Amino acid sequence: MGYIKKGKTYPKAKEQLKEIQDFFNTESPIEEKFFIEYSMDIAVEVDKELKKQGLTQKDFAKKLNKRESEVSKWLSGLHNLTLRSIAKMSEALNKKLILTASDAEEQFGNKAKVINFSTYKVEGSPKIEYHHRKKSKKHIQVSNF
Amino acid sequence: MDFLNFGIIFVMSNYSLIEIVSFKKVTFYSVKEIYADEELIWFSDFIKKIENEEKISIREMLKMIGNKYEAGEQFFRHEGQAQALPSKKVNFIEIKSNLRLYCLRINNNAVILFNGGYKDAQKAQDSKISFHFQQANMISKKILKSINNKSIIVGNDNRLKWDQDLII
Repeated sequence: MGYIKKGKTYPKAKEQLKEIQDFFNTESPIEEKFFIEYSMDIAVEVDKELKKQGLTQKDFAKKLNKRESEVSKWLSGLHNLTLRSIAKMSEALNKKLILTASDAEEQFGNKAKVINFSTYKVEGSPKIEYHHRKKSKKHIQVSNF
Repeated sequence: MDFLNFGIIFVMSNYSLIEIVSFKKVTFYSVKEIYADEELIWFSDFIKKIENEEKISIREMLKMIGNKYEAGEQFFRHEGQAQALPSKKVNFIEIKSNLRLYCLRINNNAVILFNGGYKDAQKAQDSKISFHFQQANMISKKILKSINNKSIIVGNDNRLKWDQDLII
């Protein structure tokens, strides 16, 4: 059984596709973009490091002296991560999870200053190109647009 | 095609694939449901239903996966034959924990986005979004079968290719 309700009229597929393109074209507030980017970067970094060190979330919780459910919350987004909890995770993983722009510059020299621009396009729409800043995987750099 | 079953009219739709957006590392597709003259792209229905805050999170999450990370398994949770976003492990603070966007991850570079909504029961099967859960599983089976019988081809670039007239 399909989702289309008999007797209901829907916009044409072309219009629906345009709505989807508009959805992706909408610029999110910069603060939200940074917030999501940081959250995702940290969660991805922790996940990657756990895999690298062969640790389960249970092992990680043990290292942190926390209940597994609490650590799961940290990584599942039900908890707003504090700098304190990020520091605890860095200690448990023996790895700095965040590098400031200055740290990165010191560590990687000029390489850290390189900013690459990549483009992507929304299929089927008039050719609109977006500039997306590609950051080094090794640091999070905050700079003005 | 309609058929009468104990007085209830069921609408039997057809389904086809549609590319909705292509980012640097991931192309996202969706399903176009077709019944008589009506068409419905599932992802279009999904974005109409979710709250504004979640719209931002879903948009940015898909852009990050699409442009920065690729669609690694860690971003998805298993939901039967299908998957859903966001994952349990790698999640994002602004997304409500009960929001589900059902999808099918084909590989690191191709993901088919279905429908979804807010899950209001412990099990998706018992929730109001159970219909979308079931549909996601039904269509995932069909898509995987189409990939097996080469009606849908995964190209060397990991993108999906299919005949424009293909009904899944």
